[in-house]
Amino acid sequence: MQRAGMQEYFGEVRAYFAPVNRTTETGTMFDPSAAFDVDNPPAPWVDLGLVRNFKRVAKSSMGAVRTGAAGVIQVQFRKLVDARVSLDFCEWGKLQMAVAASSQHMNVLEGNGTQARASGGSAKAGQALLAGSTASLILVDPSVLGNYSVGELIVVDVDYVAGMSELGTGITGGVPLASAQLDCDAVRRVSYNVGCVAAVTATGLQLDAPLVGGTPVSGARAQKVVGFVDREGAGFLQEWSALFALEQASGGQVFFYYPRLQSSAPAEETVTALADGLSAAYLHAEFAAMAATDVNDGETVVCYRSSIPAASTPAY
Amino acid sequence: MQAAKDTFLKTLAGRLAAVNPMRTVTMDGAARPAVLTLENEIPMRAETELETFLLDWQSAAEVVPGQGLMRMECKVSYGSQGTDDLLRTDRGRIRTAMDSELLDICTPRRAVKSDYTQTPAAALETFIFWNAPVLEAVKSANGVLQRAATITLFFFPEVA
Repeated sequence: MQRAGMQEYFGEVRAYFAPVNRTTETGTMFDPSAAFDVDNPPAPWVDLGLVRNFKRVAKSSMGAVRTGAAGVIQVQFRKLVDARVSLDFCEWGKLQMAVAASSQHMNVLEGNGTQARASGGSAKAGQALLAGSTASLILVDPSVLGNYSVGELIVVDVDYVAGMSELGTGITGGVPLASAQLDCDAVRRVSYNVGCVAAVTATGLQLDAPLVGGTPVSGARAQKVVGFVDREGAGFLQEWSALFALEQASGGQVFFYYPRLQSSAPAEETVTALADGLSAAYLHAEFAAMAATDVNDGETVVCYRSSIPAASTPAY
Repeated sequence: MQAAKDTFLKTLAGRLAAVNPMRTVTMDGAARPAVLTLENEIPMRAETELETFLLDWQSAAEVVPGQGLMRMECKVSYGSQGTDDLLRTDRGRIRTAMDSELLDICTPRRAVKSDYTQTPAAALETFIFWNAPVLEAVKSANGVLQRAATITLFFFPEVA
C-alpha cells in the first residue's frame, strides 16, 4: 500500500452543469458510486470546460452553549449553513454566460429588420417542426432547408402563450412578468434548446449535440440565433446542479457536487493581459449553494465533496 | 526514479505511435516511435538525430520535504531540416507539426508508474505526472530548425 496516493495534486479544474427542475427544486443527481467520464459526461451533464480561480468558501458557522463563570463550551450547534463558490469560466459558451450572470440568459433571434430592441428586435418567423424530430435531428419542410447553413445556431422551442408560468421546454429559462406583453417568440428567447447545425440533410437539420431540453415537443418551432445577451438588473436567478472535477495527477479523483447552485453575483469579467494590446476575458461567476435533501439519511445539505481513491491507496 | 523516467518515455512513445504512426526512428535496424532518451542510447548529439523527440534528464529535487514527492526536469529537443523533395522548404512545417505532436502526447498529464526492468512491465502503485511543456524559442543553425521544451516530471520514488 502506498500513502502517496493520499496526497492530492491536481492540474486543471473542470466544470459540469446540469438542469434543476425549478418546479420541484430538484437537481440532477451525481452519484459518486457510478463512473463519471470527465471527457464524455453522461447526459444531462454539460461540460463547461476549464475554470480558473476555483474557490470554495464555506461560510457556515457554529454556535456554542457555554456555562459557568469561565464560559466553558458544553455543546456546539450549527447555526448557519452557507456555502459559496467562485470561479472564472475560460470559455464563452451559452451556458457559461448564463450561469455566470444572475438573470435570464437570452438568445438573440435573427431579426426581421423591424422594431430594434436591446435584447434582439422582432424576429423572423419560427419554422414549424415536423413530426419525428428528435433532440439531434430537427425535421422541417424541405423547401426551407436552403435557408440554413452548417455552423448556424438555432433554437427549438414552443410559442409563448398567455398563462405560461415558466419559459423553456425541459429547462426553465425564465418566468414571465405578470405585466409583460410577450410576443410569440418569448419562450425561444430564453430557451436552452439551442444547437449548432452540423449538417443540412434532405429532411432536416442535424445538430452537433442533442438539445439539452430533450426531444422537441409538439408545437415547437425553430429560429436562427445570432448571439446571446444577458442583462444586469433582470429578475430571474439561474439555478443549476454543478459538478467540479479536479484533473487527476497523483492520486484519485476528487469531485465537488452541488445539487442546487444559484448565481449570486452580477455579470463580471476577469481580464488578464496576455501581451501588449491583447487581453483574455474570462467569465467571472459566483454562486450560492442551495439546500437539498440526501435521501440516504434525510439530512439537508448544500454540497458534497467526494474522493475516489486510486487503487492500492490505504483508507487511513 | 528509473521507473519514473522509463514510464515517461514509454508513455510518450506509445502516444506518439497513435498520434502520428509515421513519426518513427530506426535504431539498430529497428523502427520505433521517434522518442528517445539520450542517456539510454549510444552517445549522440541532439542536433544530429532530426525529427525525433530527444529526452534529456536534468536536475532533480524533493518537492516537499518529508512527503516523498520529487520533481525532475526533462528537456525535450527536436528539429527538422526539411525534405530534399521540397528543397527543405518544409522544415518549418515539420517542426511546427512536431510542436503539436509534443503537446498532444503530453496529454493527459499523468500515467501509472511501471517497472520496465521486468517483462512484462509491472505496474507500481503510484502515478507520475507533469506540467504542460514550456516551449523555448526556435533556433536555426546550418539549415536546421531546432526547438527545445522543458517538462517538469513529478513522481514518488520507488519503495524498496
